[in-house]
Amino acid sequence: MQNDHSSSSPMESLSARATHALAVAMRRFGSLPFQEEQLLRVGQPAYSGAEYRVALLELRKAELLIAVRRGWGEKLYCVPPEVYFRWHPVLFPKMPEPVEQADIMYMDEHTPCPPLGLQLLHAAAELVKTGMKLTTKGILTKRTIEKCSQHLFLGNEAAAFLSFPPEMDGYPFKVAVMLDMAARLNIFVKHEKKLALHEEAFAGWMELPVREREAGLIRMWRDLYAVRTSYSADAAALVSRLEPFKWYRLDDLDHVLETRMHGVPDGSRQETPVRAWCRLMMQLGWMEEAATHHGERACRWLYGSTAMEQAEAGHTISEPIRVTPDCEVFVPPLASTAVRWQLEMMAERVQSDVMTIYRLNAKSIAAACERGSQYEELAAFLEYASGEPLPDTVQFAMEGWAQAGPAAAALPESISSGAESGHQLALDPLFTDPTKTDHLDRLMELPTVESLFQGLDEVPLVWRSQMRAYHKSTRRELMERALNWRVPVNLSVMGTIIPFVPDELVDGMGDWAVSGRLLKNCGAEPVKLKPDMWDEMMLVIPKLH
Amino acid sequence: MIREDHPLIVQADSTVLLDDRHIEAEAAREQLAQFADLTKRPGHLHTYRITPLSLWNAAVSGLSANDIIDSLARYSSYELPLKVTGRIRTMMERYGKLRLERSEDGSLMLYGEAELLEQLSDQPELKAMLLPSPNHEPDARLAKPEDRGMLKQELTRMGYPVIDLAGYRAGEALQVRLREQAISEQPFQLRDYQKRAVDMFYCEDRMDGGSGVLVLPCGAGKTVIGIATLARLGCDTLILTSNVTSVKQWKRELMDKTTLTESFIGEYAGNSKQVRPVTIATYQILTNRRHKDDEYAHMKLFSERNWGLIIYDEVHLLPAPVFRMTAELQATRRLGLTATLVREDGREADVFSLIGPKRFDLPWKTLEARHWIATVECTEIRIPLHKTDRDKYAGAAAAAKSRIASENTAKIDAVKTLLEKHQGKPALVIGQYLQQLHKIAQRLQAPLMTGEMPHQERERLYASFKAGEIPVLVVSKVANFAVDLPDAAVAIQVSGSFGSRQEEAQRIGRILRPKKDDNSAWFYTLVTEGTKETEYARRRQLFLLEQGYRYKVMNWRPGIDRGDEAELPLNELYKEAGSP
Repeated sequence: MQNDHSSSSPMESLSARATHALAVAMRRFGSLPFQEEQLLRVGQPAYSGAEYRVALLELRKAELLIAVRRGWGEKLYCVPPEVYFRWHPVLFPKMPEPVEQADIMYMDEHTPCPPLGLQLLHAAAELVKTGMKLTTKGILTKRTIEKCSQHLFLGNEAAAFLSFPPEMDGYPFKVAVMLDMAARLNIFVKHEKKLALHEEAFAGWMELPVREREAGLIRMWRDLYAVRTSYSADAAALVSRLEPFKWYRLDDLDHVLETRMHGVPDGSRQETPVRAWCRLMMQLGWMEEAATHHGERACRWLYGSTAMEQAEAGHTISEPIRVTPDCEVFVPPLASTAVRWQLEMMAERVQSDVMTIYRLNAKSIAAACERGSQYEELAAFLEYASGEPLPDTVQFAMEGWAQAGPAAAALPESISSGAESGHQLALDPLFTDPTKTDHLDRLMELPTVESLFQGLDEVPLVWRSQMRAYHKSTRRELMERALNWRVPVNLSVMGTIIPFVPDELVDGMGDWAVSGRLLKNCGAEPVKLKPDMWDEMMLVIPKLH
Repeated sequence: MIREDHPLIVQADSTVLLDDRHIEAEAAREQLAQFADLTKRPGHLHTYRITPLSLWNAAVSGLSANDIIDSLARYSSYELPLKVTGRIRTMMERYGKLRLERSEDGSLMLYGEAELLEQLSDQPELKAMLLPSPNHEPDARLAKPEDRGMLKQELTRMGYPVIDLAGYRAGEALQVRLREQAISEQPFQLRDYQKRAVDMFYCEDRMDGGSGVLVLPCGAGKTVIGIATLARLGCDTLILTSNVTSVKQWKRELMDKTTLTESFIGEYAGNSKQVRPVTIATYQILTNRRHKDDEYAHMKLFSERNWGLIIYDEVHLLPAPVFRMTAELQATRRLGLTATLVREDGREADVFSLIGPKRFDLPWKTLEARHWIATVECTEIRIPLHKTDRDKYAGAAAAAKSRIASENTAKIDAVKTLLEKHQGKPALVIGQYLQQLHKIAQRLQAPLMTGEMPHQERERLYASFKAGEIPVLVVSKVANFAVDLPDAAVAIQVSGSFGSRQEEAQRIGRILRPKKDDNSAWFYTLVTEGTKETEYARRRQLFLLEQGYRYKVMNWRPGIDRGDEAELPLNELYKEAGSP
């Protein structure tokens, strides 16, 4: 299971009230900022507003929630993404059972996509080959955008699902996402009127073992993009906990999520959040879809998102490539990214499958030479990456093609951290992060519980410490305080104490009544009470756990 | 994706890559050969392809989808792509879904699941051929007997092979049996695999027998199997083969090994147009016509007698018009004989649907292990191009490049040295270009046999060669097919068609017959280093590699730039390719 940490112990340190409030907040807001009022509105009737307020305080104290203030004084709360994903399995432990491999069959509609790491690599190679010049509007040329798009498999429907704009700064969604990721990985920089590769950062990224590379990108999608809406975050958190390589029915996943998705505002969605997220993961090459023998759709992870799973897979060592005498290069799935990059720069990719197949030809070698490579370097690279001498035919052919190509060496479009670094600018991410609260004033100081109930000192201590019988007018006064502070009251009726959460005072016919909820057996019964319907009462001020 | 150490990598598009250097490669290859076709073998990574036809042929041989998936999984480095296992299951399930049968009143019926038949009946290509059954059963359709071939062809094309159980006409009965002692006084008895091949074709217990292809290497006695089938069925038989020499060989074998006399055997080739109970014709004469708009006049041969069996020798060479004719002859038993199912024109599906599925396949290596054929050592020798020719090559157009590479004059020295090495062994030098062959013949002072040579003169040369009076024979591509040269032990190929797999297979077949002494034979293919010829050579070798043969690749290193004659001993003249 893809648990980042074991989270059972933190739960024990939280009150049931705080645990409940965290669950409500995560369920309804995911990792997006929310106001106290919003939480209270979606909270359960069994809890009073004051209990939620104290729970928020408790969660802040436990550093599971941060509080910020907007310029005009509005206070917002937010469950940081790392907390969200750490606590998701704790609060929502229910998981579906996997399906036996023998029950799985191929589904015609499924088109496998290369993993995102390779999609990015191929798109970056296309950028280098097609040119990274920026137009007067400061974006890549139309041709480059089109060429680049061919290597990316992200569908436009993902934009709506994740609440992205369909276009950003003149880029179609999938190219915008690619540039956004590249900016966050720091692999592109802006240099005068063009984009360029940041050689060091790019080399660093390429050095990552394949599984680590993909795991990093999976986490990036989860922590940065899935959290853009509460339902995508919930689906992503659930799906990320599925065991890699095991098959799960989408219906089962939907069912798990449905049990806590009641009242999702956008009821018009055609696809459930789980299905939309899984489809996205397939477009990014990380998941695979199939059908069971009963025709139900199922999916599974092809990559894991944690270091632990990489270790389980046991393959962090790069596999060597194979060069055949007919000038084809076979690249196994776990070949290093740097080797693939070199091949992108000198050969034509003819098939992306389990094995990626490249073909060395006159055009690709001439183009590599044009970008500054020499035949000897190219041949030496192939021998290094394959671990054996090049076949004679390949040597002979490459040498001929290199000689026929232009001798003049143009500089590749990359920037090292050296001489030209003064002119380079970091590329800004294209999309803002809706969970980000760095730009707001972080509220560090924790208020006391008492400060949540303004005027607490003004009321007699006995009102909140002992059950007493009061005059009708005092009863009303207590109810007004309870309503103001959103605290429950304990009512004694014929010797039995019943907690009651008042919602509203109702005046009429020279008398008054209070509507609210009687808390019984973990449930809330809506009632309207007249002041003579209970004997004794007291205010219940929640305490910090 | 978890990697295990095995020799196969199965791609999602149903190609399979075999790492030839892996310790399990041989075992994996043996399995693959049963359900996949070798398409490419550059270096140590061989490419196979699993196609619907390769799967259906496997189904005919009794393999199940699970057998195939288990074999692949056993040797695969990575988990099998779901698409591949799905496709294997789908294709294998389709075999047997449709059956052609005769109803009690003799009409032709296509049986299958109602839903499938409904779907197929809606296809425009099939609409006119599939009629409602007389009783409107949903799982049956009526077909016209004359559409039998076309229907099978079309259904195969759509991915639904048909098991043809509609039976055959008996043909005119013919009194014939195999002799126990051949007229040539050689004892004659069918070898066990030859008997089995006939049984597999005949399929006495199964109605779907009686048509199909037997895949046997040259030297395995395809002609004998054809004759044995004819004798088993005892009916008038039309034998179609590739050239006149082969017609004569068939006739000779028929007279030698059966009770048929000359008056029963007709030759329908060249100037002879005899139609007799057993008639042997060439594909060429059947497709001969004066103008391209004319009818094929000789196609009438198919209906001139009540043939009970048609034998298609070298079925991979069957020309398109004969396919069309064959589509109309589905009620006649059809036997295809070949060393390879690979057709250069890619019409393997037509062979499957119109002649029949593969009924028997015998790898060459099995024959070799049992000494039914010679043990052959195959070597590709790469010869550098002389400096002056190198410049010529660099500046030449594509077509001219091949010619320059093929006719590399340095090859003559190599031929001479190789012949010296194998002195005393009967040797053939085989080539494509007459000019080159003339030069070689002159240099070796050996006779040259070409297509221009009259048949009588050819026969005389064969006889002298067989008698050992001529040690070396230089032959043009006329030697590719069905030429009986029993005592050749060395074949040196100096040039060939651009990568024709069948040609290489046929040429090597010239030296495969068992040898009296050490049962060894040598096949050399000479190619010009660093030219397209090496690429063609690789393609040509595909079929033999599929059959389990290995090519040693050597670099020829005489003092060619100095223009010296090679004087060093042979083993010092060539070194293992890749060594310094």
